[in-house]
Amino acid sequence: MFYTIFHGLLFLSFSYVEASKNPVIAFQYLTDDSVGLDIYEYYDAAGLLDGYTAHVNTPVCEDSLCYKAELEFYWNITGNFAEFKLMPDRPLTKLDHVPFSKSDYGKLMDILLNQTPSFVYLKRNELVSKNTDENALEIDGISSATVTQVKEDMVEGAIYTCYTLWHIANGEIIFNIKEHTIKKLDKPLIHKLLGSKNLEELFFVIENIDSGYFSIFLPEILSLAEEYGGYFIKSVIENMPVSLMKDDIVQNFFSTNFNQLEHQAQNSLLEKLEEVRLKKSILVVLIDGILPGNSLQNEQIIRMVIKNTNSENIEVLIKMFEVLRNRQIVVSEDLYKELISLEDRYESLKKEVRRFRNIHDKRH
Amino acid sequence: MNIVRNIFIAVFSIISSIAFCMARDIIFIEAESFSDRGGWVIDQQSMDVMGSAYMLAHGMGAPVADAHTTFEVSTKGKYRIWVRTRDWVAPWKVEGSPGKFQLLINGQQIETTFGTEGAEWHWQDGGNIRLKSGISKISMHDLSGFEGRCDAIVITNDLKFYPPNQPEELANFRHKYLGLTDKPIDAGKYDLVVVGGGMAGICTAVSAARLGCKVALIQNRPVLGGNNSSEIRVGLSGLIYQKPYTKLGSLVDEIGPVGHWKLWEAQQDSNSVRSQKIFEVIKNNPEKKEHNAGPADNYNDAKKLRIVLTEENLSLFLNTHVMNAEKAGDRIVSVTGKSIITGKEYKFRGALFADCTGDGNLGFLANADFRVGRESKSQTGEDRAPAQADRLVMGTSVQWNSVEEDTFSPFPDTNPWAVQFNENTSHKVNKGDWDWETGANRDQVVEIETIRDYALRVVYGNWDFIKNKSVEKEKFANRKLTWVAYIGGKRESRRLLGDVILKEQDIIQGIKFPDGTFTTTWDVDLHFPIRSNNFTGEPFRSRADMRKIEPYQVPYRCLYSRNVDNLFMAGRDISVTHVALGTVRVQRTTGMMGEVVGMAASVCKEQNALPRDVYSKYFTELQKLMEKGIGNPGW
Ligand SMILES: Cc1cc2nc3c(=O)[nH]c(=O)nc-3n(C[C@H](O)[C@H](O)[C@H](O)COP(=O)(O)OP(=O)(O)OC[C@H]3O[C@@H](n4cnc5c(N)ncnc54)[C@H](O)[C@@H]3O)c2cc1C
Repeated sequence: MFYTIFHGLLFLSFSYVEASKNPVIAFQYLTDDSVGLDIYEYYDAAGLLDGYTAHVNTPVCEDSLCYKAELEFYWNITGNFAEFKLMPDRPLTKLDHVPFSKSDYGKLMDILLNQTPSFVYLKRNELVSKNTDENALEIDGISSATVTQVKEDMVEGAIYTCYTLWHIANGEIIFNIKEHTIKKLDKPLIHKLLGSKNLEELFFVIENIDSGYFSIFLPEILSLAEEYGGYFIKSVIENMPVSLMKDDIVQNFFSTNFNQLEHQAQNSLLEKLEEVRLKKSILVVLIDGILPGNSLQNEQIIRMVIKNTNSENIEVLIKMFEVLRNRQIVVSEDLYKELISLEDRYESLKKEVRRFRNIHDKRH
Repeated sequence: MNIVRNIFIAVFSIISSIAFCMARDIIFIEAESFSDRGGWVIDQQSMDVMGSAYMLAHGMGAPVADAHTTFEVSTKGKYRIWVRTRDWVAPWKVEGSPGKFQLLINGQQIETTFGTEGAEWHWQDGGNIRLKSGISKISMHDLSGFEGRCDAIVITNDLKFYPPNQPEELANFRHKYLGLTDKPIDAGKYDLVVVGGGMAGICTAVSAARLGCKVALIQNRPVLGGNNSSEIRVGLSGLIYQKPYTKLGSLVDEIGPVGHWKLWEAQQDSNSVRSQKIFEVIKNNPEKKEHNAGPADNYNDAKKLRIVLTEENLSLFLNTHVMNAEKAGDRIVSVTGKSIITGKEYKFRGALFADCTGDGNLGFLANADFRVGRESKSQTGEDRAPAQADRLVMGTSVQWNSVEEDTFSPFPDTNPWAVQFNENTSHKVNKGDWDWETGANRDQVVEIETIRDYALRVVYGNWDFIKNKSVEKEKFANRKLTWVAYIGGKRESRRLLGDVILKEQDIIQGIKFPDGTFTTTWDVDLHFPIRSNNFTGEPFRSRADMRKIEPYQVPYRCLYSRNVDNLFMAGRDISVTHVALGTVRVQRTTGMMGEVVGMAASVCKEQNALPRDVYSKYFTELQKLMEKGIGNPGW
């Protein structure tokens, strides 16, 4: 999609100029080549933080020969490099001052967007090899001085430009941007990000908002959890403050969804639920999750059910005994004793306990 | 070579007679102890959780050869079979049960297909069979080549009996019916017991042994090398022979295979004898330049074994996983290791211990102080520390590789059980290098089976897509998946705490400690999971964020536990912050830690002292040894 910007739109268009707020410097940053950059926030039409930009004007050096690369960089709100735009009349040049072609710019964009290019572990002075024989490193080319593997990730004739710009776009600046955005997370911005349908931003929000905001945005977060499921829902569970687990909305939500959750997400949920009092609706669902072949999880659920029931919701225990019996669930000796002892506590459980005991005794 | 070692090597290396024992009417067969394992491999990575290793059908899509063993029943009749297994993709709620396998008794297939149910390890009911009295043959027959797994088999004529599942009951049951001795077998008394046989552990053990310590080296795999073994295939990085102790690294040089960084060094100084010899090796074997996920020989397991075996004071215990530590006061007095093949237990007594497990496993067993995950900025003052501490670590890699064949090479359809890819999300590559990394948000010890399994679902799903479904599939038509790791390559777990906890700014600002030892040279290299906007699943690739450093001497006080008095550590579990781990974790550096710890152990022995005393009283002795060096690279 980034190629499209090269169709006629090679030069800077300052998208943030149209925004409702003047750009503010978020922080300053020193590149590996000691070039100071002012990193600006930029905003959407509603005046909400939308990303970051910097005017990059850096020397690109090859041995003693240096030339300038000047362009505008953009990062998204979570710190990932997003795109670059050129300055009017300042095209990038290759060796011998040959200007970049359209496809060179396309390639450069791909390189800067690649988070794991092959040269990530190379120092600048390792990009070109002095050896052209079999002693050359694996990364070396046979016929060319630029190391082969690296060559694929470089604009030909502009390896130092690519290398320098990649390290600015993907360097420590990413951390600084993330940190800055975390500080800026307020109600309107969180609202916007949660509505973005951008998974990266969704993860960023749930991992970085405090419990107050988690609570305020609970309905939105739960509906996203339902929409994305899988690993996202696990992250929601893990980041959810324990205090919210008591909430009716949360318990109802997981009553509906427990059986669709991946196993590890279920385990994360059970761990969180351990901390709070559970309602009948969720207990019933947990009981339904007791399955042969899930021995450790079964034990945890059974203990949680025992802990959260009393004579007023004895029907929950009766249902659990039914499930244990019908699904032939085997439990540990300790838990067995605990289950059997329930008949001392609840008169009305006697029959269920006896039937359970019969099956159990036959097995051992 | 001492006698004890000879005995134990023999015991551990034989594909031994099976460990089953008949007691009344229950026969317990450890899958790992099948007398002929066929194409199945032993996986011990989750032993701390499961209490046992298990067998894995790691065929990369082609069913592996059957495993066989025999058992004996005294009376003929009806027997019920139970198999401890699981459907390894069930945790993700996907269909397909790729880990299917069957059992054959005396060549007769029994009806149940195993590995088809249950997200957790459990006993799958195999139904009833008739057996004659006497010896019968049992075989495990893999149906898919996609990671079927079996921990144990129970055969009983008590048809109502259900084997236990809960860890403690299962451990007792296993112990009883395997006929194991009540007490662990005495494996000897040592000056230094080294747990973990990666680069750090090997160097620790050899260094101490050469300096006169009686040493036991305990490794839970059949090979030495850890991440640098042919099982994981991570090349060695970091510079050796650095100032001020320019002889440190000589043992790393002796043990470590010729590869990328040796060649790099040779190129910097091409006229030396060492460089010429390195050039010669590369000329004959140019494939050695492939740093990660290269051919198995690149990692030279045999050389490591040879060096360790020829060391006089050193006893090697392969296939032994340390699961227990016994303490008296603040000292460890012994550790107990369990054979990953037979389940037998061995006790190693020692004056000093070294945790070279990478995971800080020994420290954990001995209640040593440790940290996991990222410290907060307020805790360490580090630039790259997050505002809030969390459990994020650098993840585990399942690397893989493929070769070009002359003709079409098929690969099975992995739908629906593998991770599903499309043109946008797939990676059209021939090899999975360091950046195939998963599980950064998970516990690297407790959840390693899940972490590794998810990585396998990714590798197989991606390979299936690019070979069978992509618009570019022609490019991959003749490519064959030749190697996929089944032992996860880990980067970070527990970091045991010493008297100094090294921070990033110590390194960046070049803060000098009076007890500087080895020199770390790798940039501070942290990995983070890559989230992609069009992929909803758990991240499976990582990016590396590097911060440049000047060579930095790491203090000795990072190499021993602050609260377990006789515990050293070397490797990626030393006393550093999450961020500082980014530089010291590379293997030529962890190897040098081992050299130093071995030297310090010899000083302890000589002076009848503890690790901390080496800093406070005998540091000059250690300095002398570091000046001298310990390796014989023989260039
Ligand atoms: C994919 C990948 C790429 C990497 N890239 C590089 C690179 O390019 N260069 C580089 O130098 N480093 C690299 N690293 C980092 C480096 O491999 C690790 O930091 C390395 O593990 C450090 O060595 P070690 O000896 O501390 O641990 P390990 O190599 O992990 O060795 C520890 C050994 O102890 C064994 N063990 C654990 N517990 C027990 C127990 N209870 N009983 C007995 N034995 C036990 C383990 O099985 C293992 O074999 C990479 C890591 C990964 C995963």
